[in-house]
Amino acid sequence: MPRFFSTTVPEAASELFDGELIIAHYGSGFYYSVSETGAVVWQGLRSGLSVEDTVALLAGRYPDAASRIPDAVESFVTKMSDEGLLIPVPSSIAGEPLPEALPAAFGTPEFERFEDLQELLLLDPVHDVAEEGWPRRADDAS
Amino acid sequence: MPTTHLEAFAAVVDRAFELAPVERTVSAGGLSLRLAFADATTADSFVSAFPPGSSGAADLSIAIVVGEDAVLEQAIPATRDEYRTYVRAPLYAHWQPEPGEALQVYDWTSRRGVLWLPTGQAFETARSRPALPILHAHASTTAWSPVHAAAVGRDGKFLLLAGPSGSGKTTAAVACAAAGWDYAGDDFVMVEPHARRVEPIFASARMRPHAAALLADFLERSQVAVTNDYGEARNELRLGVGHADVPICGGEVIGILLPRRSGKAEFVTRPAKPIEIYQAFVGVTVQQLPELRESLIPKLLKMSTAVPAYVVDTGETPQHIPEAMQRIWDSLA
Repeated sequence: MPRFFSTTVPEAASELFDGELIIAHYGSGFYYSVSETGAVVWQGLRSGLSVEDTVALLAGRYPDAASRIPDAVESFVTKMSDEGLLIPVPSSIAGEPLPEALPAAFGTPEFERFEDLQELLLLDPVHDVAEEGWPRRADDAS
Repeated sequence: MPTTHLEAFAAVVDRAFELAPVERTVSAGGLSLRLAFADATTADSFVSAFPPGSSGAADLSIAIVVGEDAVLEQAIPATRDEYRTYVRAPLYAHWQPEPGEALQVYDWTSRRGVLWLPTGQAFETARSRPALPILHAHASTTAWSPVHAAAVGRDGKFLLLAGPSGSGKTTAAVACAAAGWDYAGDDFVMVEPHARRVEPIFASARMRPHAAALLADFLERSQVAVTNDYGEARNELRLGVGHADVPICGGEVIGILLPRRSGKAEFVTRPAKPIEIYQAFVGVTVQQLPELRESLIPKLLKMSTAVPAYVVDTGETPQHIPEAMQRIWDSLA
């Protein structure tokens, strides 16, 4: 059974630059630098390929590494899912096509998580969401 | 008496404009701003913080009110020593207790905002960077965003300087302004990452004494006060018309520099990674611009990857910075 994932996740933004993928998850406050091969896997899933088809594509492109590609991709997808950076979906959602030019060699798909901005991103002021919230002074509310 | 947040904040907006019959037009972030004040003296004390405006229709109006008022008082939160933010269309409201109490409200529908300083004391960040959260709220529905960075340029092409407080952004930006560069800000500027544009929000700068002493001649023309910022002195500068007369304008962003004081002899130490740029942009930006992350963060991330970036060492002699910046500018322009 092919497995599909969405790379569009709530409270996160992503940018690709020179093969590097950066994901900013402002819900958790973490941000991520994804390796060049990891970015290819992410782009494969974004294009609508299943995990299995992404593995097959990479195995065809990198025959010397074909034996370790399934486990490497599986591990990467699991870790990305655990971080909330990939969301399982029941069927393919076609997105931007995978670029023709892929890295010359297969490197282990991985990412680095940065936590230094978390406190700042999560340290928002007290939120008032009730219809009768902040504007009522203490002496009025009693 | 108002019973809901909508009524209470709407009453704040109406009341603030009733209290502010004196109007001035300025610009900020490429927008035309109509500012309203109680009197001309209050107006004069705030207007020089903004780039000059031109006549015509305003994009938004902001009433800046200083001092106690019984109607506005109703909007002070019960726990007034806590930061509070309210975001629910059509209203954005932010209460800050430090460094001085301030209430800022923005109505997206009427495009009217209020900066109210209830104690009557306009603390210096309110004078040098007035109404920044209001401009943040307005920008959240546009392609633009304020970002914590300085920017200087020539011939319509600008370099952004990003980094934490004390990294050397202001020193580099003011040194370049003193050397004849166009100035778009030392602390917060407005950027449009897809079009790679920058516009000045403020015409002010706040320098630490060490750097200020090294640019003494320029300070004579631009300094308006020396203030205390959490125990540290700040030279408060105004760079626009009637002060240093530096051209305050924006343009195309052609590069991003991350200043570091690492003791390196060369100015450019290495290319900067996009993730370093993102890190440099986000820290103070999210501290100063509450909420609306879903609009803010994607723009900051996009800007982080939009143009070439370098880590630079601004050294100990501000007068040397413009020449080094010029070399980078020449290579990117």
